[in-house]
Amino acid sequence: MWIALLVWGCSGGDTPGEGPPGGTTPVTTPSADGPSPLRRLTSSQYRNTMRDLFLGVDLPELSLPIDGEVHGFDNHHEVQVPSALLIEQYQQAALAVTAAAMDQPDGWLPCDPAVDAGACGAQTVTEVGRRIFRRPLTSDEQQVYTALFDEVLTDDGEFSVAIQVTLQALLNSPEFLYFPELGAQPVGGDRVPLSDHELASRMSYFLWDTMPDEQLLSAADAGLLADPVEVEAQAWRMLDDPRAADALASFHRQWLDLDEIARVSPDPATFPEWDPAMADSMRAELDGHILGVLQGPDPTLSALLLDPTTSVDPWLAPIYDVADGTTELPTAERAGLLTRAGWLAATSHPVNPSPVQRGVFVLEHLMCVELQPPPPDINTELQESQGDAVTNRERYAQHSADARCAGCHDAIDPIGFGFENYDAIGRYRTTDNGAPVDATGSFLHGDLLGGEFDGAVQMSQLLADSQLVRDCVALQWYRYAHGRSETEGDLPEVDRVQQAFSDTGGDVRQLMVEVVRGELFRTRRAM
Amino acid sequence: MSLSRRTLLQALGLAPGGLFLPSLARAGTSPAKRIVFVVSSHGTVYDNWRMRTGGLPDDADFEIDLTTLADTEFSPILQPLAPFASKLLVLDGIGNGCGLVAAFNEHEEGHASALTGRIPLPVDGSLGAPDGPSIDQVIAASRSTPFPSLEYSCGGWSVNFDDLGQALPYEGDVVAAWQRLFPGGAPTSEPTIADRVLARQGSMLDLVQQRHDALAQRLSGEDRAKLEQHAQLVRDLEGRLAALAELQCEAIEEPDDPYPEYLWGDAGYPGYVVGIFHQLMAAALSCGLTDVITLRIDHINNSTIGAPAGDLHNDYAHQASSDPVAGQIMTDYHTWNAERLAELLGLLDGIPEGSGTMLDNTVVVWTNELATGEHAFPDIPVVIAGGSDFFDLGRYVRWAPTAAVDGPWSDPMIGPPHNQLLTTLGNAMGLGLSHFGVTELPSPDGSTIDCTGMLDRVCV
Repeated sequence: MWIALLVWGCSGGDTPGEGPPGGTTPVTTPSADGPSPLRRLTSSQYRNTMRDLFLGVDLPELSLPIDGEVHGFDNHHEVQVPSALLIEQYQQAALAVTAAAMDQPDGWLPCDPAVDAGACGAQTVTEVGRRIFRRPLTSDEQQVYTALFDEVLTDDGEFSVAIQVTLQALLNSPEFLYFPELGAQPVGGDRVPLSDHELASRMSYFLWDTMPDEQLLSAADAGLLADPVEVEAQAWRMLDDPRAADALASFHRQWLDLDEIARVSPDPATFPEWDPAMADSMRAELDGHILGVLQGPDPTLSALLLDPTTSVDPWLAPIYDVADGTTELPTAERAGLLTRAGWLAATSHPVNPSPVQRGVFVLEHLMCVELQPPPPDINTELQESQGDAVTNRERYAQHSADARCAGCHDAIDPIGFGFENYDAIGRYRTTDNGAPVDATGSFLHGDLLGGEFDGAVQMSQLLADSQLVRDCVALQWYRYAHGRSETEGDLPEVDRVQQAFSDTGGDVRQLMVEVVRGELFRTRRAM
Repeated sequence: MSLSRRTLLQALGLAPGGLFLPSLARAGTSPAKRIVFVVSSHGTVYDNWRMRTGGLPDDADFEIDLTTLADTEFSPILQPLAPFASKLLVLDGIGNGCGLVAAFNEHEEGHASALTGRIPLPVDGSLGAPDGPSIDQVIAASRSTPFPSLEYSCGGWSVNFDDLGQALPYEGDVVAAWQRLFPGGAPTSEPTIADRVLARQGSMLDLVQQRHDALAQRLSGEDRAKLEQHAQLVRDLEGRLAALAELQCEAIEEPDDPYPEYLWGDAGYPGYVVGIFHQLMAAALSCGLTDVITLRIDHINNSTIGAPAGDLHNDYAHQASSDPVAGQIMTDYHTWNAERLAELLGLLDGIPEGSGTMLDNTVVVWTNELATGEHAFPDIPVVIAGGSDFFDLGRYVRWAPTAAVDGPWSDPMIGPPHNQLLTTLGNAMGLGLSHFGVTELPSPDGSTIDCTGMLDRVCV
């Protein structure tokens, strides 16, 4: 079942030892058995958590750094290094949030300071502190934070000042910003079960992209999460909660590079009808498609790739050439994710679509084929006029003519050509520059090897039926859930999750629960 | 509580362009040396950047006295800098040998090596990285300003790396950058609740730092190092806030939020953002908030330089030497960057300091991730301005290539390795370095190229 990551050397005619290194990038770390490195909140998790901690408060816009990415995901522990800017932005964010929170305390402050300011401070440390730390405070912790509150209250006299400073200390603490996983208790063997509260945090930030709710915290308080049956029940409950939309959005935003849609900038001369508002509509359509499928009756990878259900607004209507309000796209032209305007525009140049970007995307994101960059001494620019080339596709013929390019582009371009029915803003076309579009192509990898298609609707069907693609998507979810790259020690677990994903017909919600059920999700490596 | 003050500068009758006053508190004190790195993208268009006054040859060392040239005798790309001729040092022929030796994506290599002088390493699933710090961070570590360094960006990957080779994040939001420099509001006679909360940040951070130290003790390896670093940064922040509270500094006006006139894709957006950063930089330097700043400029819209549609990187930069249309577009791109630099130099040169201006005591370095749009590394374009006590200014210095570097795909000839530039810059800031980054590079004949020491022919 486990299909190893395919790494595709692109050095063309180079012989080993002469050419540049490449083609053999190790993708697993030997001798590691599923490590659990210290991770912290991502920027989206930080914002979501503030929203849920301070219910009913109109929070200010928070400036947080854009984290780097590994394998496309920003929750990877390797990019979560502290920097001076990050620490300062945390401090500033806590200042802004607590000031706003004190303007609207009704939804979150557990007591009335007018009755007894000192007692209310201690109660807030206990109750709000438990939600900030995602576990009850120890008596030592209760004591130090209450002492800070008492000190400021004594000096200043104003409850608001004292509680803001105290909450800021909690919000800047490592127990809030990071996910310390010290384990339930020392036991023998290689792995230690997470404490109930540590597991609750892992679950909620994976399934919700935010903090645990009271029900999950209470289950952890009661020690119920040591039981995998309870863990699974909680996971299903959480997937049915509206907050699951945040996690689904976060994963797909990163996996599918959806932020690129905002940067779409077509050539005004070629596309005079373009309006930046179209990019917003394109993004909203894709977000709606993803959530519609994954929170609907058939939450599968196949449906993501194939379901033509949509919601067309006035901006999208001319692009799809359908009436405003249309709810199903014409199935001869469109299917799911890879035939939607947003993705197609985001993988285009300003004038022409990019078969290379589109092909690379399918290979890397859906098939987990890692490609090497082009050799540096090659001019990667295509000549505008190349002999008799008329269509966009013909311009790329040079790739297969040059042996150094062909090594990769024989795999990339035939996939990219399958999208030639869509122009640079995603409109369907049957001619390109006056000549008929040729959207035939084929695959070179895994169980897709030899698979031929004419157009992206057929291609989407092949991808939806492919074991290679199912395994790849399961692997992407596994990386995201664990916030790290897979190691050799993960392979049996990755294999199990992939098998389960396949057995359920590619059910993404089942997949998420399967990841949570896994032993490596519920334990950490012994220190 | 005496955090920095906002002042309405128009009330002082200052014309646009002379937007702030030097810090009154620092007037009369001995000038500190500062350094600004401006790092742009896509190399240059060498034929339109270099100067060969009177037909000077490529294959010999030479110098040109810039102060005797008419503006029109400057190369097209450098022409916007002509008004500052007497304060410039243009360096032609330096090669980034570290980028040449590495064998993966050259943009990643260029970013990881430009200011580190180290041979970058590919990182699985992410951007390539060096195995040590960039020169700006080593200089920053020698200073005691409230901010050891500032990193601003109008697009582009980081070129700044900490001791572990981790990329430093950039501030790309001009409003957030302003708030960071000038956290205080307008002074009021009666401290508000917000003022009183601000005044307690020291005690708050003290506890936070203890909590990080305590948790770090319970962890090991990288996890522990991460929290120890976090704790140290909290300590630094505590010290910085205390220092800021002592400073009397004239703030520039808060930038418009959220850019009512400009959107990301608009022609004027990059110039607007870079212009605000310039003002923040000049203010931060004049107030003594920091001595070390990096400004990364990558994002320019085609419309910004009047270029036709097309992907600037793939459609034009890669063709800059081979296609005349692309060459002109990229020339416009780099000229636009030179115009921005001239704007910054004008700001710094407009602030009196000692017997001269702040520019005289500030080293401004304009360099690039690459040498050309086609990803070459010999002849990286370098312009130094200011730092008149250290550099012999008003000159164009050319080094002919002398040694071949053993690269993975070819063995290009370079002049001085850029490690010598970085060493020189470190020493211009008083570090006393013997070398920076690698000490040697391989030649194809099995010998090595010496990367130690400073550049010759640049100092007074």
